[in-house]
Amino acid sequence: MKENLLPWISLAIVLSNLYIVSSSRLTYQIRGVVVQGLLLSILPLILFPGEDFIHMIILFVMGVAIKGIIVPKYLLKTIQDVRVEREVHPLIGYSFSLFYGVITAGLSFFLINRIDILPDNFSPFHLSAALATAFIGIYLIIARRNVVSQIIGYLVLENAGFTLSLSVAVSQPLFVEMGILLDLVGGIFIMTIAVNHIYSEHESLSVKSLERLIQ
Amino acid sequence: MNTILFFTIYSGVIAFIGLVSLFLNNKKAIQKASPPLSIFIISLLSAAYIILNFTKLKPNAILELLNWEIPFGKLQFGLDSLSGLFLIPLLILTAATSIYGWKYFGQHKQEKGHWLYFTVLVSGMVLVILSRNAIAFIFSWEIMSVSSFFLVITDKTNEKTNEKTMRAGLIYFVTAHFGAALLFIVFFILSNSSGSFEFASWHNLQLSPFKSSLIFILALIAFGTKAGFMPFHIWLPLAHPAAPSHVSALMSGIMIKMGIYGLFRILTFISPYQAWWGMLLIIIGSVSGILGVLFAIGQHDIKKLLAYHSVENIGIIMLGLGIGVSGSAYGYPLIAFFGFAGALLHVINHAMFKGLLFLGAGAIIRQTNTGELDKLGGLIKRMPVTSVLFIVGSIAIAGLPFFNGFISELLIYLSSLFGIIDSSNIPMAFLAVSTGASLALIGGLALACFTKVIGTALLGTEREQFPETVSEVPGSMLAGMILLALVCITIGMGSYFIVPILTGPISIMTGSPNFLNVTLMMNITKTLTIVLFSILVLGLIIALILKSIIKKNKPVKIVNTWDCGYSAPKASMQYTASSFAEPITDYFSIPLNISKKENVDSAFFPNNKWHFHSQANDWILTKILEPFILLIGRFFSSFKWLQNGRSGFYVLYIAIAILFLIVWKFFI
Amino acid sequence: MTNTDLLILSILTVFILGVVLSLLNSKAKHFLYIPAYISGMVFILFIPIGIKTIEYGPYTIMGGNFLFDALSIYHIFLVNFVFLITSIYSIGYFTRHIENHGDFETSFIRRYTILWQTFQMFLLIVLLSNNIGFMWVSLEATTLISAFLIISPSNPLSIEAMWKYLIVCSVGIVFGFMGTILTVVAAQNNSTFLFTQLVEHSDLINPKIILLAFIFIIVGFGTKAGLAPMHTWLPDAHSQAPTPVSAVFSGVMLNVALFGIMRYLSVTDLALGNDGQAQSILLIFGFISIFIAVIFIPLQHDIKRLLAYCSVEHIGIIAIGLGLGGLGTFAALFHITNHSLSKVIAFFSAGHISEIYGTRDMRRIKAASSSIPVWGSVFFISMLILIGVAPFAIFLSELLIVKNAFFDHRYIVTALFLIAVFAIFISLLKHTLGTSFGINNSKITENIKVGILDKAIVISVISVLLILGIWIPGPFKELLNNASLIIQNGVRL
Repeated sequence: MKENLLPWISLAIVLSNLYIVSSSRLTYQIRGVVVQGLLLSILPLILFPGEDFIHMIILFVMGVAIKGIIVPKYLLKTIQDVRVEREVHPLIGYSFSLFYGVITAGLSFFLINRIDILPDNFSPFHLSAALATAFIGIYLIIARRNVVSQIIGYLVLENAGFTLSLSVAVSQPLFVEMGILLDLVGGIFIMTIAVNHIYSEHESLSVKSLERLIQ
Repeated sequence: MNTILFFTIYSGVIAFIGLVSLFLNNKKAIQKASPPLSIFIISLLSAAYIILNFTKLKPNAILELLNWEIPFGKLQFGLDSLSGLFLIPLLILTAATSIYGWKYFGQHKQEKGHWLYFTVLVSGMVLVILSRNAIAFIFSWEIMSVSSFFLVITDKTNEKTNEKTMRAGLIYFVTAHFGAALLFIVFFILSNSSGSFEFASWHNLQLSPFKSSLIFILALIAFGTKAGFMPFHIWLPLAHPAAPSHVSALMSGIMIKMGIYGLFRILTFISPYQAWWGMLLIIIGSVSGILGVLFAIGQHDIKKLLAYHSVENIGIIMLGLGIGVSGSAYGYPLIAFFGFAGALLHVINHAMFKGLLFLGAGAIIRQTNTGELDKLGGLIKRMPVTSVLFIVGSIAIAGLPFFNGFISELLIYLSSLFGIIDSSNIPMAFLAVSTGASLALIGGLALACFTKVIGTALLGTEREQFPETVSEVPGSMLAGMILLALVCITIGMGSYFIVPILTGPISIMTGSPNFLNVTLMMNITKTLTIVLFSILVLGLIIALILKSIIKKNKPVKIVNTWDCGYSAPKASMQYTASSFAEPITDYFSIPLNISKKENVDSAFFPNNKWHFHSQANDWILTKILEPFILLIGRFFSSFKWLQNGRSGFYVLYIAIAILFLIVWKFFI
Repeated sequence: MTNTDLLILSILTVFILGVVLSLLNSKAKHFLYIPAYISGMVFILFIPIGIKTIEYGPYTIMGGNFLFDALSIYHIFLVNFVFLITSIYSIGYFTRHIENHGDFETSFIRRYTILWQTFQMFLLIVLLSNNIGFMWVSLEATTLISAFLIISPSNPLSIEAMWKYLIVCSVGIVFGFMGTILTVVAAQNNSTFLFTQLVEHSDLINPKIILLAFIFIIVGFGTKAGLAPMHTWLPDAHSQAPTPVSAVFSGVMLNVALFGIMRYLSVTDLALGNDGQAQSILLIFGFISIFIAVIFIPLQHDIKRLLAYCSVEHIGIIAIGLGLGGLGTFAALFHITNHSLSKVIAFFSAGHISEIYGTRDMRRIKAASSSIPVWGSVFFISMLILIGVAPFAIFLSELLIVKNAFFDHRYIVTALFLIAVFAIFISLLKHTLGTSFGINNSKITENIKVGILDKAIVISVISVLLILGIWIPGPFKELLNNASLIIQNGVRL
C-alpha cells in the first residue's frame, strides 16, 4: 500500500501547494490549506502501516482536527471579524507564482533524489513534498503583502516541518505532536490576536501599513 | 625600600587621592586644597627619591604582584633606568601641574571628577612605565588614554567651544584607540614568537629581519599616534587647547612622551637595528620638526601654537633617536651614543619647558579669558612674574644657552657632527648632515616663533584695554611654574651633573657604552658648564658695571615710542602676530595651506577698517582623513536598504541564509 | 526524589505563586512588586543548585530530561540576575508611567506581570533542557510570550514591531524545528533525543545529516539570537518595547538562544570529528553581524535602536569567539556576561534619558551628562564599556578573542575583527558624545528621583564589570573553563 499510495499523496500535496500559491483570494487559500492539512494527516497512516498503530491514529485524528478543522475555521472567523478586503496583495503576479511552484517542486524531487545522505528507510517522496512545501511557505510570506496571507504562508511552512517530522514519527511521536501543537498555538492563537491588534490600529491588513520602522 | 614597590604603591596612592576627591566639597578651602597639595607633596618627594636612587636601579628586577587570573601570565612590574628616566619628568611635572591646578579653576566651575581623572592619568602613566607584561602595558596604556579623554571633554570653561571640545575629544580618543589596536598586533607578534607576554622573555628573540621590521613599523604607527609626530599629530592641536591648561601641560609635557617611551622599549626587543629604520626616523623627525614649527608660526591661538611646538619637539627627539639608531646600525657607537643621549635628554627637557609654557599660557588665558595672540599685548606690566617665567620657557624651547633646550640639542648636533667628521660611510654622513641641517632650521624657526609670541602677547601695549582684574595669578600657580623654570635652568647650567643619568638608558639601548664616549660626553659638558658659568658671572658683572655707569651719567626719560612722525600712535598700530608671521608663512604657504582674510585699502586716505589675518590650516585631517572616512561611511550607508521595513524581505534573508549554507556545505 | 528535584519543584511553585498573585484583585502598583519578589526568590533557590552542580559536575534529573552542568548553571545565574535587577528597575519605570500618564490600567499591569514571569520560567526551561524537544518548545514559547511584552503599551509602531518579531522569529523557529527533527534523524536508530546521549553516542551520528541539522538549527535559533542576517526583528522590537523588556531581550533572551546553538555545536562538532565545519558557519554569521552593525550604527537616531544594533554587534562577537574555538570559547562565554550586564544598564539609562527628554531621538538629546547627572553619566559609562574601553571587562574579552585569532594564525579574522570593531567604536563614540555632552538648550532637569535601589544596581554592575576587567576571580574562571570545555567536548555525565 505504501509503495502505491505515497507518490500520489505527495503529488496531491504538491498540487495543493500550487493551488494555494496561485489563488487570489484569502478564502481560496484557506480552502487549499484545509486540503493540504487533510492530506498530511493521512501520511502517517500510509508511511508506517502497522507500526505503532495507536500513535499513528492519534496523529491522524490530531491532524484532521487541528489542520483540517480548527485552524481554518479560526482563520476564516478572523477575516470575517475584521471584514477586510479578501485580496492577498501579491507582490509578484500569479502566473509567475504558479511557475515558481512548479519549478521548485521539480527541483525538490530532483534534489532529494540526488543527494544520498538520508538513511535507506526514508522515502524520497514525502521528503520531496516537504521540501516543495517549504519553498511555497517561504514564498507566500515573502511575496504576499497581506497579513493573513503571511499567516497562511507560515502554516504551509509548518506543514513542511510536520511532513519532515513524520520521518521520526515512529521513534519520537512526541516530537510530531509538538509540531502540530505549534500550529495551534503559534500560528493561530497568537497570530490572529496579532491580526486583531493590527486591524484595530491600522484599519487594514495590508503589510504596507507595517513598513514604517526602517533602518 | 624596593623602588619598584615604591612606585607601584605611588600609583595606587595617587589614584586613591583622586577617588577621595570625589567626596570632597570644593566650596570649602581646605577640602579643595587637599587633593592637589597632597599630590604635589607626594610627587615631589617621589621625584627626589628616584633621583637619589637613580644609579641603584636594577635593569632586570621584577616585582610580581599577583597571579593574573587570565591566560596572560603574571602581573609584573619593573623599573630600569630607561623607565626611571621617563619617571623623573613625569613626577616633577605632576607636582608642578597639581599645585598649579589647585587654584586654576578660579571663576570657572571645577568638574567634580577633575582630580580623579588627573590622578588616574598620572597613575596610568606610571604603570605604563613600570609594566613588564604586555597586557599590563596595554591596560595602563588604555587607562591613560581614557582618563586624558575625560580631561579633554569635561572642560566646560567656555560654553562656545563646546562643539570643538567634543570634536577634539572624539578625534583624540579615536586616534588613541587606533594606536592601541596596532599595539595589540605588535605585542601579539612578539609574544607569539616568544610564547609569553612577559617583556623579560622578549629579549634576544632572534627575529627575522622581516618580522622585526614589521614590528618596528607597526610600533612606529602605534606609538606615533600617541607621540604625535607627523602625520599622526592630528589630535594634538585639537586636544591641547580643549583641555584645562595644567592638563595640557601634563599631556603635552609627558603623556605624548609615553609614545616615545614605548618606541624606545620596543627597540630594545628588536635589536640589531636596521639602517633604514634610522633613515625613516630621521625623515619623520625632520618633517615633524620643520612642519611642526612652521604650523606653529601660522597659529595665533597660544595653546594651539604650543601644541604644534610639541609636534616640533617630538620631531627633534625623533631626529636624535633616528641618528642614534642609524649610528648603531652602521656601527658607529660614538654617533649612536650622542644621538640617544640627545633624544633622551630632550625628553626630560621638553617636558619641563613645554610644561612651563603651557602653565604660563594657562595663566594668561585664566586672567584675560582669551588665548588669541592678536587680542593680547603688554601683559608683562600686569603679570610680570608669569611673563618672565614664560620668557624663560621660550628661551629654553628655542634652544638658547643657559637653559636646558640648548644642552639636548647640542648633544644631537654633536652626534651629527661626529657623523660628518667620520664620513667614510656615505649614507651615514648624509643622514648626519640632514639631521644637523634640519635641527638648525627648526631652531631658527622656533626662535622666530617665540619672538612673535613674546612680542605680541607680553610686550607692547594692550590692544584692548583689559579690565582691572587682569593681574598676577595666585602664588600657588606661580609656584608650579617656578619649579619647572628652576629645573630648566638647573639642567641648562649644570649639565655636567645631569648627563650621567643618561648612560644607564643608553646602555639599555645599545649595550654597555664605550667608556671613552662617556668620558667624552662628561668632558664636553664639564667644559660647557664651566664656560656657561663664567659667561654668566662675567656678564652679570659687566652688566652691573655698565648699569651703574649709564645710570650715573644720564637721567632716565620716559617718552613715546618713535612713531615715524605720526604723532597719535594707537595700540592697534602694533605689529600683529599675523603680520609678524607673514614673511615666513608666505614662503611656505603651500605645505601650510595658508588662508588669509585681508581687507587692505590701498587708497591714499584709507578707511579705518583695515584688517589682516592669516592662519595655517592643518590639511591632513580636513583634506585627507575626514573625506576618506566620509567616503567609507557613504559606501556603507548605501546598504541601508537592507533594513527596509518589509517583513517579506526579512524572511527572504532567512531563506537566503539557509540556502547559502546548504550550497556552501554540500555543493561546493 | 532528590534535593534538586525538590528545589526545581519549589521554583516552579514560586512561578505559579507569582502568576496566582497577579490574578488577585489589587491596585496596579502592587502588582509591580510581584516580579521582583518572585525573581528574587528564584535567584536564591537556584544558589544551592548552582553550588551542587559546581561541586559534583554534570547531572540530570526527571528521567534525564533536565540537565545541570557548568554551562547551564552559568547561564541560569546570568538570567536570574538580569531578571532580578530588571524587575526591580521596572517597579520604578511603570510607577512613573502610571503617575505621569495614567494610561496603564490594572489589567494591563496584571497581564504584564504574568507574561513577565512565564517568560522567565520558559527561558529557564530552555537552559535546563536536556531533551532537544523540550528545548525547542520552550524556546518557541518564549517567542510567543515575549511578543506581547513588546506591545505594552500598544501603539501602531509597537504593533508593527511585534508583528515583525512574530513573523520573523516564527519562521526561524520552524527551521529550528526542522533542525531538531533532523538531529533525531541523524542519530539514526538510537532513538536518542537527549544531549547527553547524543554526546555519548556521537560516533554513531550520521555526519552529513547532523551538519544539515546544524545549519537549520543555527539559522532557526540564530534568528532568535539576533545573528545577522536574521537579526531584522531586533532593532524594531528593542526600540518599541518598554525599557525593562528591551533590557531582558538584549541581556537574556539573545544569550538563551545562543545557548541552544552552543549545545548543538558541541554535538555537531563531536559527530563531525572536530573538523571545524560547524565553527566556520558561526564565524561567517559572526562577521555578517558585526558588519551589519558597522553599516547601521552610524545611521541611527533612535537611542534604543542604537543599542539594539550594538547587541547585534556583540552577539556577532560572541559567535566569532565560539567559531574560533579553544580559548575563543572561553572568551565568548566571558563576553556574554560582560555584554549582558553592560547592555542592561545601558538600556536602563537610555530609558531614563528618553523619558526625561520626552524623545528617543538622539538629535534632540543633548548634554545628558550634565542636565541629568546620574543617568546621563551612567549612559556614558555604559557606552564606553560597550565600545570596549579599558579597564572594563568587554575590553578584556575582546582582547582575548583577538589574541586567540592571532595565535591561531587567522590573520584575516584578526584584521577584519579589529577593523569592524574600530569602525563601530568611532560611530558609537560619536553618538554617545553627542548625546552626553554639548550645550543643553532645552531646560531639562532630573525631575525623577533616583531610587536608592536603582543606584545600588547601577553602581554594583559597573563595579563588577570593572573588577572583571582587571581580574577574573578563580572560581569564576573555573566555571567559565568548565563551561567552555562542555561546549568543546560535549557534556558527559
